[in-house]
Amino acid sequence: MDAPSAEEFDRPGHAPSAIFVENLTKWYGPRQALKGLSFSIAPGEVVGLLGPNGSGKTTTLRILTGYLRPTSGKALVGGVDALEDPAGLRAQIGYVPEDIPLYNNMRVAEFLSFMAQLKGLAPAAAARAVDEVSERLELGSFLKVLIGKLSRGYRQRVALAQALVSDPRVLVMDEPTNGLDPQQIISTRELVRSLAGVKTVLIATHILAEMQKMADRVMILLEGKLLADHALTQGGPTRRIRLSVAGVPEQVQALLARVAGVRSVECEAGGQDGAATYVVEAEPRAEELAARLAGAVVGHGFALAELADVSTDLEQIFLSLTRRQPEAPL
Amino acid sequence: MRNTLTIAGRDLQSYFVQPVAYVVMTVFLLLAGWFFFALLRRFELILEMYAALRNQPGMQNFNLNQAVIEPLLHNLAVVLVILVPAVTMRTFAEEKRTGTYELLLTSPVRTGEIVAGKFVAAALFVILMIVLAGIFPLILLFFGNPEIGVMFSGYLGLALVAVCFVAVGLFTSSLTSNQVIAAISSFGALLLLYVISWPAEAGEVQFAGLLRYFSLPEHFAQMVKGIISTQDIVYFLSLIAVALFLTQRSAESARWR
Repeated sequence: MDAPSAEEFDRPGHAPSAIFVENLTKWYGPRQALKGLSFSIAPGEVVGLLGPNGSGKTTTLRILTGYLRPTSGKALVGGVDALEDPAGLRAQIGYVPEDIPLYNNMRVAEFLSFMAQLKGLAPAAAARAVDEVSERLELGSFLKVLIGKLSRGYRQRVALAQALVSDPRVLVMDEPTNGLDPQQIISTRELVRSLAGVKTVLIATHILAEMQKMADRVMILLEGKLLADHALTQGGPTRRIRLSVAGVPEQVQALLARVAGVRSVECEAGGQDGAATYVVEAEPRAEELAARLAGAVVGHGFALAELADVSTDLEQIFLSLTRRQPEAPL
Repeated sequence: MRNTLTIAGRDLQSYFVQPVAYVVMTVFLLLAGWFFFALLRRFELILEMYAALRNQPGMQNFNLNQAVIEPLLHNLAVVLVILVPAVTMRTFAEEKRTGTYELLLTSPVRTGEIVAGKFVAAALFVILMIVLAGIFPLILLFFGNPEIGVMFSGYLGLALVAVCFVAVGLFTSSLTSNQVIAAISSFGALLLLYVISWPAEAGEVQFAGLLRYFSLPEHFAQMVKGIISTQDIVYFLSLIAVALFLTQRSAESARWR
């Protein structure tokens, strides 16, 4: 964690984080949902907030969107403090809540116009914003349809449209792919990726695979505490393969480094029977990497004693972190 | 102010896409019509009786305002005790149940503006009902000679009573996500406002004056008689202000839970 402190945040010249959280706590009666959470998110980043159900994800989002007040700690969005100027903070954010709550008896255009006006747009500007956002999200032919008649996929799209209608700096989404079919999940993912660099996006989810494809970074939350803050390259973390090869280490190392997709090769320690251990780091999407590495080694006459994929993917990180602690309902 | 009107517009529109509003309005107008017909028939019978008895002083003291309009307005106020909770029960409770309350609370709108918007919408709806019930005194104007000022005062009183009921209904709706609980607790609170002075009427009790002051019919009765006093107007406005303040605190408290 390298989140700047409040003092650093306020220092002149310091590039403000889009979202900054420091020592955030939230108690629901006798139950503590957040236990001193601290993190910061840079403008334009797409960050996933991962955690099992009840880990405090929704509470974190609700504080950042101004729905709930924290018990203690700091929560700033675009430099605006959640406690000092809650309405100012809410003006920075577009929010897609879990379970897609919408007014079923309104038509799509009426609803989007209503939300745009609540977010401070004058009626004429709201009408333009509705046109723009409905075009972007391909809702044009549904503008006169009652929201209650829409499928879950289109409801999700309408929820996204209301979040984006005021062109907020920060988009916060709670479980955005819940209940969507694969095609709709891909559309949501593409939309989020298209916002990367333009808007700051914070997504809470318990679906790991989605985050690997959507986010630049994931934070893992358990029982109200941040367990890990993990940067992702696009497509997932680096692939790591460990090999035990008998042969001249320099030659083996050079040979492995020439295999397509390999980023680096490290010779770790001597193995059995004169074999050395090499750890190869490669592109995450390198196809059939293990087979090509094995082929290269054997093809050049070296003896391959062992080959194992030791990639630490998000799932492994998540499981190893969350397994350490007993689950408690929050 | 703009946010208040935006929310009021949406809420008002939502009343007319739900059957509840039409049912409430129809029941109110049907009952108003029935009361009017019954009271007018009674007025006619008593007049015939006075004529048969050649009771000239009795006939002179008997008028449409006292015999028809006053009881009609009192009856309609009691009907509103039952019907206004049906209008206000959804205001907050429905939004909480469906989760749309989260959309409102995460938009850059003050809680007070949300409360004000919902109040304006519900108040306009019940005032519309009362305006439509104004057809009955208009009928009297064509066929009789009632005092217009007294009628206006009475209808103004009924509108103030209805708006007070709306404010109380908003408060009970803000306390729960269950519409039935909201309606029943609103009904209970409104009925209490109606009967709060009963112990004082049954005999001399402590705080009798206070109980009478809190009694809504005491103030309403004055307006029905055509007396618009500052004391009564202050009572109604204070009741509205207190109920809206409590609603705002209740709505805001959701952020701290």
